[in-house]
Amino acid sequence: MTEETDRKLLEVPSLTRREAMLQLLRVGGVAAGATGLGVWLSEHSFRPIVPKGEQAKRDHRIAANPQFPHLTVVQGGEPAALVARALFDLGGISRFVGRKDVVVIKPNIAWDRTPEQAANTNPEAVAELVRQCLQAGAKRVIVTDVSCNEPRRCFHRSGIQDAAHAAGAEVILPDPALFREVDIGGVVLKTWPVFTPFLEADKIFNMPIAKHHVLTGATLGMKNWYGILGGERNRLHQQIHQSLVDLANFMLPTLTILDCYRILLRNGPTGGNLEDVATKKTVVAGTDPVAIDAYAAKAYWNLDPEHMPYLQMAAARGLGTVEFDNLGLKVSQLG
Amino acid sequence: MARTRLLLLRRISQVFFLLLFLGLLLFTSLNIFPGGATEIKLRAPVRLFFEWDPLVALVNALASHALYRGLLWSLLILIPTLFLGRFFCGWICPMGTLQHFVGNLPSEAKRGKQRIQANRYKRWQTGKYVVLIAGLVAACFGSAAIGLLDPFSLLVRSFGLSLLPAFNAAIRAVLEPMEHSPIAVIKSIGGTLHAILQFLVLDLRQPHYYQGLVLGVLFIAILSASLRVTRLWCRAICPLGALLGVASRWAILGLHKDSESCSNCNRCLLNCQGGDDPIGGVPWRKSECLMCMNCVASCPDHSLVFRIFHNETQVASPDLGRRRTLTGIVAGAAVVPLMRANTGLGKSRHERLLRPPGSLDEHDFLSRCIRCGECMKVCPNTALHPTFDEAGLEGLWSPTLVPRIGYCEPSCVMCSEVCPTGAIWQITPKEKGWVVGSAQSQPIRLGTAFYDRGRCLPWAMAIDCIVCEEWCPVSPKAIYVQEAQVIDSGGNLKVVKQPRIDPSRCVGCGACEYACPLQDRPAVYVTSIGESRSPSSQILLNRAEAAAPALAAASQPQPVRENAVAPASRPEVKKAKSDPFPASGAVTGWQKSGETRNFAASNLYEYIDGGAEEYIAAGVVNTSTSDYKYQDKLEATVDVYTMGGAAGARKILEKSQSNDAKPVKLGDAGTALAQSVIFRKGPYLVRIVAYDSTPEVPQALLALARGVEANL
Repeated sequence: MTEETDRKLLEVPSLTRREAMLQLLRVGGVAAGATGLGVWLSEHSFRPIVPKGEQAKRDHRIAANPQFPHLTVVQGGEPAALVARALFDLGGISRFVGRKDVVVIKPNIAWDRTPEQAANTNPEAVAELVRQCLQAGAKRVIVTDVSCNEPRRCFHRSGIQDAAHAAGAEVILPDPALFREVDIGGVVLKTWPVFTPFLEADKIFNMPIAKHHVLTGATLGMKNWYGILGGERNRLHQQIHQSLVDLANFMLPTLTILDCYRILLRNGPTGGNLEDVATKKTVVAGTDPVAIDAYAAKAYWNLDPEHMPYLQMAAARGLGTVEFDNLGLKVSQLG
Repeated sequence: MARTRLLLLRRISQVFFLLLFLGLLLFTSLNIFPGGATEIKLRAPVRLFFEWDPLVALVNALASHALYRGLLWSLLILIPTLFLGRFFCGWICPMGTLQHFVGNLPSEAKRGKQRIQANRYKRWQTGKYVVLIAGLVAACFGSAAIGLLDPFSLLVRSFGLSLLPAFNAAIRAVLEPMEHSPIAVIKSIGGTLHAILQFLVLDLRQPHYYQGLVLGVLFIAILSASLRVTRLWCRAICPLGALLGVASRWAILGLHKDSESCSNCNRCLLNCQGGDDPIGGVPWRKSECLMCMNCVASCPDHSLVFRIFHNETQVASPDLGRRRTLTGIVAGAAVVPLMRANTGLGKSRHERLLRPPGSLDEHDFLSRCIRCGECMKVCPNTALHPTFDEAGLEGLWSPTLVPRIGYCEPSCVMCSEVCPTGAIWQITPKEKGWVVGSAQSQPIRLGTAFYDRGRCLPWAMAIDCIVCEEWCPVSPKAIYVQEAQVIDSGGNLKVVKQPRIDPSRCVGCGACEYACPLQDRPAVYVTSIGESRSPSSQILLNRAEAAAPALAAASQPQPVRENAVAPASRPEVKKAKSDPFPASGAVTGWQKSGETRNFAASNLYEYIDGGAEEYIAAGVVNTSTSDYKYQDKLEATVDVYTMGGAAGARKILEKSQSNDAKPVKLGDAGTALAQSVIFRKGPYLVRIVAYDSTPEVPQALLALARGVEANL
């Protein structure tokens, strides 16, 4: 039995020379490949470093025109009419939006609140600005914000999603995939994730709402830029004044339109209680972001710039002036 | 021919109900809204399958002696089962369909004789009846824990808390490199896919759930078991299948075996789903048959057919036996008391067990909650998570709020909308009472927030923060701040705002904990004390009294709240926060023209010399007063008397009646005269007197009175 097996084993045909060579080549090839790849990979081993954000200060300002005021206050009308008149006073939308521009409008859509609760920008005001931009020939008009509460709820309940859609805007939700690391280049703000639409705009309209805030007294135009950032924004409050100025220096808007149709007098910025809301039927708009904040703080909260360090810091940084009286402030009354 | 058509029909039905189930599950996310209304409501009956579920209905009935909203629909399944047998398991149940599908996959363990052997009836198939009996007895003792094994509970929990979040992560992992690809085609495909998926399933924030991995692995294990033994779960464990099996005892539809023509080829066993012995020579087991019709279709001799009112030997009832029945009863009777002997209920309750808004008190909650996880799936902030030991062993996988991951959205009541059993009783946003500012009723509270002053930046490190105050969604805010002088590490004097909690206003939503920058262990955190569902777990003696403006406190020498706010920056807030007097401009035309003055009973004569006796006799505790001006011409004074109770206020109001007084709708009762308005609300009595008489006075006074009333 065993003899037979042995004989059989010996009879197993061996490979031809050609086959043997090929087999050796195959094995050798894999071995050489593995070695090469291994050496190449080992040379590419670096300790992971956080990539530096792109340097990109965004200046969307337009040239000043002595014909038109830097700041206008329109009172006594419905939101759409207020916005329309403010734009008219400032020289018309075509002064700000050119044909084929990609326009991004940044309302405050931070909270899961209805328009009556005055925690988010008025939807009709947003819709009017969308219409005007489209009429001026803008290629795309985008309405977006990085909400605090769940974004879909905020966009829906603020009424802005529907109103902006109806007016013809694209409404973009803050999807986590759409943030880019950017070097803000500030004193305290260095690299932060910024929502991409804000980085790719030709023109940017800041459209905040005036609300009370316990740290700064009031949250107005400049604080709205918190909403372009992703990441852990809750750290910004530790140096809120410097953060505000850093952001305002990073993002210089074409125009700021501060919605004061309803303002939140107390318990801001979330509010919730209709008793905290005062109907002022006003829009404050202009090209000087510092003057707008200074005006609204004085008008509705009786706050002087010395109680609002961020305004003085911003003025010192050359972003605008707190002395809005000297700007040729234009006040219009509707109706 | 007709036999294969029956199979086709069954497959269509199975696919339809599986898709319906998954579709309804997707409708729990916020992706699909109708336009228009600013109120957010679910647009699909996402709890449909639970309402059909006779097991859920029976457990609910046994534990609560009633049937919660919609559970009557379970008769739609139960009654046909009485006539037709377990068609539900074979034709409708999505859990059955999934196992059916997995069981059909080619598998080493299912070949030839093994496969035929595996599909013979086994004694262990009676296990599910023991489970059912134990679960029903436990329900009588007040625990709906059997819901853990309900097939829809299992599905929603596994899909909603594990598989879909995993799917979300996987999709994102593929989409992101696509969208950042330098190749334009790939980029645009990625963008389009993203837009489509975002509309259907993608979440804006990747959901994470506690024990998501455990739930997922368990589910996959259950499905994989079908690779070895067809529908192992349905045959051995599923209590709903057991219940329907019992219900089919007298079903009129049955399997007729023609023993003449049967050639004993065993083909009927190849694809048998229930393990109910359709072969010749042994009796058919009615309670095990899932009516899948595979045996009928695969019989080459046409000797199997389902007939109504057939008369032949069969095993109609579950083959349980006295001993196993007794085992079930004893197990069910023992398990709840044993778990109650453990900690988890009563005083030992876990501090972090925060039940969703609308939840019943813990005993009632546990007697209803079937751990389906629908509330956790629907929560827009993924704030609700399955418990591990927070609710004791008895409460395993019941919902708890984890504020670090998500807070309870003030305007949202979706968890209460989807709860199929009333463990979270259905409420409206108004009943929840967090944003409407409803003065008439107390809001629903989940717990109370506390500060960890050793970690809170303004308290511990002399650093500004106050993000918690910013996020606090109630108005007036439950977090108030006090300016404090502190010394920073450089020895410099610095003013920071230090936060405190007002327990009478805090609703326990967890927004502060969520927003706190100290991610790993927040410096403000919510514990369950003060939750409104529990009468015993409370801090304050009387919430309503504490919630009222701090009039009583104002009479004390140095009321904390008066200092609490930054002096220069926000004068209006200071007043609005703690007293009933409307700030200037809050009521149209009215300016507050003087400081608020406070008087206790002991020095009230300083204010109303001569009249004080009457008020003291009626039990006045505190009096505060302020002057107002209307459009700079009319002057008026507002007095707010805080009495010991409503009776005192009524007494004073009745004394003020005269012939020319008109009743007005203010507070609990009120009257107006030509130059004054007086009304009472609870323990408060408010008198507003004008010092002039013009035609506009009554209207202006009423407006001011309403302003005061709203602040009470």
